[in-house]
Amino acid sequence: MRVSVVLPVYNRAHYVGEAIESVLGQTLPPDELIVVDDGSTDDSVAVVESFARPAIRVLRQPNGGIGSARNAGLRAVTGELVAFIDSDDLWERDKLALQVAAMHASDDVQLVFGHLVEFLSPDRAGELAGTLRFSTHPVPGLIATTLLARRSAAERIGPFDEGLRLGEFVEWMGRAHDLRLASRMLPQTVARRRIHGGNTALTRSNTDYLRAIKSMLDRRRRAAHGG
Amino acid sequence: MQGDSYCVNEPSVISEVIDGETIVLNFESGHYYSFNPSASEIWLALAAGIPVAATTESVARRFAVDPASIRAEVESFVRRLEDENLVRRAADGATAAPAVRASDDAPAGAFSSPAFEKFTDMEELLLLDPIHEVSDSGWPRKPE
Repeated sequence: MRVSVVLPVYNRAHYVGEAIESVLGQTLPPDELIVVDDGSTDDSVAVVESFARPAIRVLRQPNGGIGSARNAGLRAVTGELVAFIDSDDLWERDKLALQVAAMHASDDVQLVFGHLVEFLSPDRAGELAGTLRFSTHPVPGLIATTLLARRSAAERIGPFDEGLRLGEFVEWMGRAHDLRLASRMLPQTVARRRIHGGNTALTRSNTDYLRAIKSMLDRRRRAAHGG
Repeated sequence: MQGDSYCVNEPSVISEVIDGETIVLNFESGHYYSFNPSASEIWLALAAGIPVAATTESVARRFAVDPASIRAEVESFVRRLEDENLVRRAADGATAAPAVRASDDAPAGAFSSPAFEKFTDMEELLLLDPIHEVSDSGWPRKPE
């Protein structure tokens, strides 16, 4: 099965290179890596283009948010399996190998996650130590960076809600949950999430979470009433 | 309890009225809630710093019922909010002067007991998705 990776980036020139290296350095490299530049105004695109490999495609769009960038990537993928990585995160080297094996092991499984550890970004460690709570021991990673999905499943779930700048993955997984798509959580750690103080969830208003929840509740009520 | 004021358990708890429905989310538990109309009224009044007695009267006016007839229900609902860690008792003197609420005039329909629907199905996702700020150290305390 061909594997496509979608990496949205917005002004993360300092980190996106490491994210790409962690994708290219996989023991089972993906067939394509689609980087979606979401209107960066820093050197992100130059960093991405410095990798110049046939397997990397760069799409550029005006800033539309992470959901919009992931959707642009999803429209472009050609693989039967699709993985996401956020531009500040890192994959462990055997992430794809473990997850592709899990997909081969069962035709029923539609979504494969894995465990996750968080780390303080070395460039911010001094100033941030003690100010943020994060887990250095592996926890079940239900975030985009830890997911490998069958493309057909992602298409059934539908596009990310582009109106949400926060909570967009929660809302998307809410739809996956309602479709009762079979998922697996691998016991292995597949990714490391960088904590750098500029993380989206810390810099945006939390009310998008409430809107994501409201939209989930409304959808379920419509479904319950056959609408 | 009637003289007590409460406040929303920030920053763990956030809420908003969206299309007339009050949605409350507790990031500490990953649980979320949908409030019925009388529960929403109580929530908004408490969040505005209105003590329980005045909240009861305000809700009674909204639904055109006798405050005495709903006092016990309001108190028991406030205790449920406390049990769910959605509100906490405000420190003496820590509350701002209660805001006068503009919605007191229009009747809000028939009164039904304050209640919420509680959802735990997205717990793992909601606990992991936001990167939690350390809140314990910043927990508001009674001023010394």
